[in-house]
Amino acid sequence: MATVLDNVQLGPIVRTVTLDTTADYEEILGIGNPLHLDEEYARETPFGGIIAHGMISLAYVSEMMAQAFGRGWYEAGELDTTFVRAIRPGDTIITSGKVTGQRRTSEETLVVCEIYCENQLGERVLEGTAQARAAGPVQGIPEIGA
Amino acid sequence: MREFAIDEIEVGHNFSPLVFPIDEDLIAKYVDTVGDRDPLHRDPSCARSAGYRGLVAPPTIAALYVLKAYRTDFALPSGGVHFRQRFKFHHPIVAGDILSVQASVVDKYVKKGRQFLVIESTARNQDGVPVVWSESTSFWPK
Repeated sequence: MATVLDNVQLGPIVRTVTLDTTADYEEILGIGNPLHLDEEYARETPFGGIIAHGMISLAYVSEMMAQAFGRGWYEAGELDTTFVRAIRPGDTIITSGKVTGQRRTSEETLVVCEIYCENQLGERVLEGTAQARAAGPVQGIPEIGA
Repeated sequence: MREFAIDEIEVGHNFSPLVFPIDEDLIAKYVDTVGDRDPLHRDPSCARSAGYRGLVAPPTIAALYVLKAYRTDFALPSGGVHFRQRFKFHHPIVAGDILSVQASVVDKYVKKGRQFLVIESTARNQDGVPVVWSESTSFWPK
């Protein structure tokens, strides 16, 4: 269900990533990458310890977008993100987003958002852009040429 | 599965397709792991009354098959770092869907002493409808 955008700020989703989170994620993934599971192995890598899958923070970003755009996210969502810093077990991840532009056609309005995630120290762990179909034009947001 | 050296991986390589079924159990495990409380992902009757065929998967559930779809023929070298991820969601994924995922190597380059590899994939559901496009960029420290 698409909701009406009454605020150009998105989020936040706030989640703490634990050792259980990375172990559970690795289990459903079924790959068994020791970087996400085995502290002894991970200590010998350039990361110096277990890190979480970047894709976990992307799930939080997607949840933020789904809350704002509903079906317009499931059917017309786009993400382009860079994992700029490793997430460690124990980190709290805070998602943020802002609608920065819109693209209007006769059929639909697509909104463009800047998105990022920070950890509890305010360091960015993920940044990029997202796009979704909005229920209608968003007031006060510049239009981007088609 | 044998681990390939980067030099053995060719741009244009099409991986063997991956068949990836989505069921309620997988969706439940996924949303429990990432902490998503939206009833669309937890209550099939809520999803149906919202007009979906069944329990709706969060679209980033695609991450689960994306990372597998380029392991169907050989394993990538260990030590790779997932650096950039792009997704385009075209159609909702719901419980009962059987996805066919085709991944291919689209680029390979060295930048600032790091070896990059770009892999693209498209997933279609059982009706042949494209549901998600993905592009994953990883690098290996040299």
